[in-house]
Amino acid sequence: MSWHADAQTLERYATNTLDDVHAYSLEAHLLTCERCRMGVGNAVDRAGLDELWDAIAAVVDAPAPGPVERGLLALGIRQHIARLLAATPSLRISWLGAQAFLLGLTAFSVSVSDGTPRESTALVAFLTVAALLPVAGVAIAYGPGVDPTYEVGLASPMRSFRLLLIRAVAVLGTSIALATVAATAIPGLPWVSAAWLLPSLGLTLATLVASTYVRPVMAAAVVSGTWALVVTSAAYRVHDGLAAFRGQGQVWFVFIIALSVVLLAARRSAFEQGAGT
Amino acid sequence: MSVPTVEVVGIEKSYLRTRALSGISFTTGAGITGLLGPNGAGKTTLLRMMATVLAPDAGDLHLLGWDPREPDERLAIRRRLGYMPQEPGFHKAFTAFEFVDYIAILKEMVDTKARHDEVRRVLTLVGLEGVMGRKIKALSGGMRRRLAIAQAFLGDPDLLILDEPTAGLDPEQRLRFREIVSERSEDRTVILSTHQTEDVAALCPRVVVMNEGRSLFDGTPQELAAVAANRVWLAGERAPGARLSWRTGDGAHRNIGDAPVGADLVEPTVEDGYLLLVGQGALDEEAA
Repeated sequence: MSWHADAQTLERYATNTLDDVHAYSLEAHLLTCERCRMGVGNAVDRAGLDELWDAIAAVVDAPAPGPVERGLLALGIRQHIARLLAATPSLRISWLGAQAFLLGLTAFSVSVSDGTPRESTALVAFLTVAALLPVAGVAIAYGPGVDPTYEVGLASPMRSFRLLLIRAVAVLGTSIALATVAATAIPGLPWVSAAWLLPSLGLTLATLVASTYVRPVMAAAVVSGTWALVVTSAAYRVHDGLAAFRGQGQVWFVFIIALSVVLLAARRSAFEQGAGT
Repeated sequence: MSVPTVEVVGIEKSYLRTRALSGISFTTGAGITGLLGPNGAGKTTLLRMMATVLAPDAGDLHLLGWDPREPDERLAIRRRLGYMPQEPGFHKAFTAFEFVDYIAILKEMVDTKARHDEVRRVLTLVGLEGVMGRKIKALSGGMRRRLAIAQAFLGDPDLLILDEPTAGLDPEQRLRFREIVSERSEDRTVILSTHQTEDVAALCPRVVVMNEGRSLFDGTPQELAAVAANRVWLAGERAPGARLSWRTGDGAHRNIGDAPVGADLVEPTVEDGYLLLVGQGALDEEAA
């Protein structure tokens, strides 16, 4: 070793005030010079070093997140929101898989049905399933009897309504994405293959409103049952299986969505103290 | 008594035709208050109200000076509250760390580093630092109980509501729990329910005995034991006048009730006082 850095250079390096050229040169030298390494060590701010080490240890020690959480983080969702979503029963791999299977099956039935697929029972089944899956997903996303930490969550300062909305948006978004993919399997992609969208939004919001009165699962059952009755009775009345999904039905759902948003805003405080329990 | 932090005045609650609380009242301040009573006494209903998750049908409740019926005041209470329900639920796919971290997020701890430090602190407090990365479904019942206790300690709350925290803990873990709670009770309010009279005797300077939705007793454990003064005696068999009697490990019968003249009176315990107050129902429950 032919040279050593002087104390001033080492201190400037340790305090990050040395210019880049000299810093790179010094770093190359430090790899092989124990005496200069010790000099840097003495010049470094101990408290800052300890803090940095604690931060590294904290990251290394923290257990790796599960697959759902990793996926959410990869989508750019913030870590604490990703953890809130990872605890959502209807965002588990098993639920998403079951949803994809059901949508895929009904979409496949439409694609292989003979005659006029637009009028077929298979198409009605696809639209009904696509509209109701988000309702079921939101019903089991948060609430008494479905979220094991519901009671502790209720006693925490995070507003239950906020948590519910975060989860409902995630569930709805996932369901819509899956149903959209499944709809592409329907031959010719007729407009009616997207006719589940407004019903799914309307029914989900109606379920949330009903959840301020009864448990979410009960609310979903009542809303879904009523919807099934409407679809069936409309079909028999005008001899058209798709009647509930056509123009007039879509207009009704715009009204239901608007009304539900207003009611939900007015009733949101009901989620904060064991409502629906 | 110190400044009141929990004021319960004439609280009533019914579930359909079943009356859970019948106008119960008491006031307490910093320190540990034990709620003692048999199943169905209304302890859990009362604790759920103190945890702001259940509203009373009638009566007044003030926690840390705030009224939980008012949304803003309820939020203020929740920011200073730690709560362990009687049957804590878990997301079993989470690890112990992830679970407590999840609850910490619900408690508005958004900064990741500070939150993770706090999660490590509470897990270490309950002796779970070695299993932080283990899935909850792989933890024993006692470990899960400690996990539920750990989440209640997040953020060092001013008001700690613990519903049967020692159920399912082994004696060593129970001692550790007593140590943790007593260390933190000097300037904080801890309300815990239990069936264990020894927990009350060891931990609580104040005890409220409940039965059928009412308060039967409110005082110190010594005063509770004194309820049975001169009313506990040992005999070779169950005494005819005893209200309660059971055979002890050394073969003698411990009798509670109006002692006959010349009876071999013994020093009463907290359990004796409790049993005398709540009667045969509690004895049957303890035997079960």
